[in-house]
Amino acid sequence: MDYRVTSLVMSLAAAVIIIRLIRGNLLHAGYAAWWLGGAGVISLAGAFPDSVNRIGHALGVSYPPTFFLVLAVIALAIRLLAADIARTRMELTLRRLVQRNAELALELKKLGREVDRLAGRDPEGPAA
Amino acid sequence: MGDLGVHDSVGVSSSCRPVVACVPSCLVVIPARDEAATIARVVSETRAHTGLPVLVVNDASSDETAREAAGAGAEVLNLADRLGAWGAIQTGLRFALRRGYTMVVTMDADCQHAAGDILAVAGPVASGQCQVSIGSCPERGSKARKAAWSFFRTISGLPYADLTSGFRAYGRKAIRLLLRAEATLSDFQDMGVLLLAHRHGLSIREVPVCMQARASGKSRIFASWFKVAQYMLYTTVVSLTRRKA
Repeated sequence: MDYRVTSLVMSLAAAVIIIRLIRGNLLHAGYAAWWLGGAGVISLAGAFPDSVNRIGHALGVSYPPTFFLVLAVIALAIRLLAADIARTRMELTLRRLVQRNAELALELKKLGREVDRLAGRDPEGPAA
Repeated sequence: MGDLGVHDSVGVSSSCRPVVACVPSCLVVIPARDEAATIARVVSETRAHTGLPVLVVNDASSDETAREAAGAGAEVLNLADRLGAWGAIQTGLRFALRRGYTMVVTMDADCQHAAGDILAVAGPVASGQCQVSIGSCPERGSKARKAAWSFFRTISGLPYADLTSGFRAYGRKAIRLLLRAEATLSDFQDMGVLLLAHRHGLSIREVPVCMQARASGKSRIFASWFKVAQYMLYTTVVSLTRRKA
């Protein structure tokens, strides 16, 4: 089998999986753009391997096939960094929400007691 | 300092305020996780010695910490998920600022800090001599801990003898600074917090105090060698990247 067909099948399979993940709400569409783009690049590189080799030669890479691998590693490293940045932002939001939630829970408890007091109920009683 | 009145919106009875007038509008914040064995004693002693309102921030305990603290007269904030000691303290700082307190004293829930020393720690902040004061007891550390402190002092540029004490007082300016997002992302209350305050030019002072061995439980930071390594790595990164330029 021609290796171009192999890479095309692999990239198409990746694209199908990504689209299914988006449809199943398991992957946010914003994050999916990167992976769909990646699948597109894989299929292009598989369909036109000579162009990758030519670019590698033009950039002075002595063994051009490694050029594509290096690009892939760099792309993955950037993606991982972006993921950690996003996780840090989410961690900040989560911590703030937990803190705010604690305050609101206390306020709610106090309001409940106040309502019970005004209604003449025992705040510690079973109906409270 | 501005407001010198007694701020008692966090339920303190009028019979329980022996020295409260010495410090302005101050709240004692105690972070606590699974400290049911000691928290009531800490709250009672704090109230008896100072008459100050006490807020216990329950860091998602699995025992009766919240009930014990409330029973001893503290206001209790319950965190829905574990944020660690610093996350709990920051929750207390946020609460204090919203309620109009101008000063916060933080202390541990395991009886390491003496309630009798609270006013000594709070004094320099209350009198405007500094914005952060540290209840300092460098003698308490083992040789390994002292070596770690020395290492962190060298790489962070912080001159303080006791870098990890949780017995501290914060003035209003410090409270506002420590509510920033960069402080929220700090995992521990020691180096990251001090470096932030130092970098923003807040005056920090150490007050010598005595500390006891913890009455129950053990340090969570030093619970295992893996955790020690994790703490050392994290704190080294923080010290190197957040030091004052």
